[in-house]
Amino acid sequence: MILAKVIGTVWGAKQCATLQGRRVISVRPVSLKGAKKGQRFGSDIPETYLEHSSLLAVDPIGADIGQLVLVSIGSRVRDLVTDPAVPTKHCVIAIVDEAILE
Amino acid sequence: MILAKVVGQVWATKKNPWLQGQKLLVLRPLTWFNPDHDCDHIIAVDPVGAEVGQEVVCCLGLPTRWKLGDERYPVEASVAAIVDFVEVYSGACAMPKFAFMKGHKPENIVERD
Repeated sequence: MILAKVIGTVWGAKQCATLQGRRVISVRPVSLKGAKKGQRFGSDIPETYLEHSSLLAVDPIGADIGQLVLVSIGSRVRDLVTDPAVPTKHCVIAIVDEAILE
Repeated sequence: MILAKVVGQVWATKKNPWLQGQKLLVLRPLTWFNPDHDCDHIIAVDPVGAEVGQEVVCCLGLPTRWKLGDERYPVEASVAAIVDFVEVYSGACAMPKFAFMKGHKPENIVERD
C-alpha cells in the first residue's frame, strides 16, 4: 500500500460498463524525500512531500479532494474491494487521518 | 520479501472493515522491490508488533494474505519478521554494494568474506 493525496476526480462520458457509477480519483503518491523525524502528514501536506507523478485509483470509500488516502495495489485487492470486472489495479482502502514519522 | 526500516505510523478512521484493529506502519525499503510507480515508501499492516526504528522483513503480494490467515484481506504488504542482524557474504553476491538501496543499509550488518 502507499500513501497518496487526492488531487482530483476523473469523469468519463463514455466508459467501460463496469466503471459506470464508480468514483475514479487522481492521486499523487507521498514522497519521504527530505522528511524529518517528527514530520506529520495530514490532509494539509505540503506539495514538496509529493511525488511529481500521479496515478488513477478507483475509490469505493468516497475520499474528498485534498484528503490523504491509503491506496492498495494489485488485481486481487481490486477483486476484494470492488469487483473483478473493474479494469484497475489501484484501489483506495482507507482515508488517512494522519501519518507521523518518528 | 524485502528488508525495510519502520519510520512511522499511520492512523485512519474511515477504512475498509478488514483493516479494523490493524496497525499500519510506514516502511522505508532497504532493498529493491520493483514498484510499478514512483514510490519511496510502503505502508504495511503489522501483526508482529514492530516498533518505529526497527528493521523488519516485509512481505509483499499474495503471500501477505496467506500470512494474515485470510485471503480476503485487501492488503499487499505486511511485516513478517523483526530483524536482529543481517549477514552478507561478499562472495555470494556478484555486486554486494548494489544489494541495498543507495544510501540505505541495515544497522546491524555483518559482512563476511
